[in-house]
Amino acid sequence: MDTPLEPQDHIEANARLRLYETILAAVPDLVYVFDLQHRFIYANPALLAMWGLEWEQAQGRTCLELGYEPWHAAMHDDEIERVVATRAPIRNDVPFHHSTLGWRVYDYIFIPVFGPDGEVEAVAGTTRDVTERKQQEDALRRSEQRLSAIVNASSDLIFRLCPDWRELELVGGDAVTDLPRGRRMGWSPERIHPEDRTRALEAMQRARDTLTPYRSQHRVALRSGEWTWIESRAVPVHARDGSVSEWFGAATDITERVRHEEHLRLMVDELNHRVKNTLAIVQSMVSQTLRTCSDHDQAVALIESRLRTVAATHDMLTHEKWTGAPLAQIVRLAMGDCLDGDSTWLDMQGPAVSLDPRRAVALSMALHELCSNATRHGALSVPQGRVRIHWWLERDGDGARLVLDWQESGGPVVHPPARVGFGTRLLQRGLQHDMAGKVDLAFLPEGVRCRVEAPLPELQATP
Amino acid sequence: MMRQVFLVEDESLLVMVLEDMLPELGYEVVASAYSVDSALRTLEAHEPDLAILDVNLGGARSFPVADALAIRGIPFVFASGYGESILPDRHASALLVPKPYGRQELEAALAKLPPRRAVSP
Repeated sequence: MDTPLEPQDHIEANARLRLYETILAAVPDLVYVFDLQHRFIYANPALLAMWGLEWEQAQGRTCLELGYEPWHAAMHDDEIERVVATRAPIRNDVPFHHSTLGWRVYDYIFIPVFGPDGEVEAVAGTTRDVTERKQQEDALRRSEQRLSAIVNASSDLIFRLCPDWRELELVGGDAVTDLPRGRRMGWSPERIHPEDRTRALEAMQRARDTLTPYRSQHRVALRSGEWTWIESRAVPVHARDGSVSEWFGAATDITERVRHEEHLRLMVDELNHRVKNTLAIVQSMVSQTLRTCSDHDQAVALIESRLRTVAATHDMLTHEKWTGAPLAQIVRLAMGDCLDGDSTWLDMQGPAVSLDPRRAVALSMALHELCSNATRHGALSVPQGRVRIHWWLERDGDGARLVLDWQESGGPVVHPPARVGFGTRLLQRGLQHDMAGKVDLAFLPEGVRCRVEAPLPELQATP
Repeated sequence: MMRQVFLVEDESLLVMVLEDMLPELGYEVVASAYSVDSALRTLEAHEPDLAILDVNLGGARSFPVADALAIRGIPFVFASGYGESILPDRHASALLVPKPYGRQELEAALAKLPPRRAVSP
């Protein structure tokens, strides 16, 4: 039992009361006391301000009587009972409408007040406005959720590096590697392809020295032992004191892109080769024509028609994506100059055969020469002349051999040319070289005959 | 005696031009081939003094032929529409005439070729 208060104590108690009253009036937290009937027996100015009431209006009233929502009042009733029963504090938070600040979130603690007999004689409470903290927590949580969603939705690999880059943590993203996410692991330059290592390490060193974003394209080792091309970027994350606390980065799998670029480079090389070769062909053709043809106008006409044939063959090959060209189409194209609507003079037949680009160009130029020769001196120089072009395939060991037969008839009597012209040379020398076969050109009196025999790789004989 | 040239070129028109041009420059064309395989076969039967080698033979690179020529000590010049960057390291110092080339360019390139190196059997 407590001893009765001495006057001395009384003065001190009054002084203490003033002290407490001052503190309680000044604190921004809400401070209050319930009696065992759940009535307010004390409320500090902060609580009165929240209610927007004078103490006289609140004194001795319960939460329900003060206009709290029934569920809210019931919750506090229950909490007060529990504090009394368990003699222990409880803590909770709840939204409440402040008289001037509007809806706020409050964190509160109810604690038992023990009387001189050791029994709970009242329940005291303190409440703190935690709206800002809650908002910050929510914002942080939302931001983290959003970041996590970005990482998970990313087709990149997202990673963190410790400041010295000796340790790596794969944060997320489904790209590049199936190494586990969310675990720290050692990182070493051995993971980078030897050919790219120096370059990548220099980029890393530069980024770390200057604390500027890092960027590098290199190959890294996969768990399977394969190499994959990645583009890696990383930026330093600064701590409050300005030091770098970590690096944050992303890596994109660019294997497809690198392959595509390599393919493009090859295409450009190939195109360059074709253009240069075509120019070389044109150069040769022009110099050959000028060498064997003394008449200027005729030389110009010959060069033009030969160029047209080369160009038309290229068009045809381009249309076939340079995989090859059907023989029948090559023949028709080479005869183009002569095929003027009426083509009863032409007897053309043979199976479907596709020729590779080199043979296609060679044969179309050769046939063009035969055709232009026939027009000027042979069967096609008279109305009743005929040209027969037949071709067929013969078995030749494991592969096939193409035999193409050109036969003129009904023209004037043929005399062998006095000198070997470009056309003749192209047929005999060129066709042999390009078709890797045999060319037999005969100036028979009844008409020019030309037989071309060329081995065909298996692929070109289409069934 | 005229120096004997081996032509490796897949364009017959170029072969024809070279066959006309080379004798005028004092060279004799002893053989020509249009592919890596045919070039390697031809080399079995001929002992040319030098060779003119197209880099691209119907889509294939002619470097195996260059290797075979180097082993035999036969000097050669590459002809190509590509720049010198196309040459592999082992042939990086080889001569290259860019296509299309004229008579002067070819003459100058061939004049730079050393005589055939004696190779011990």
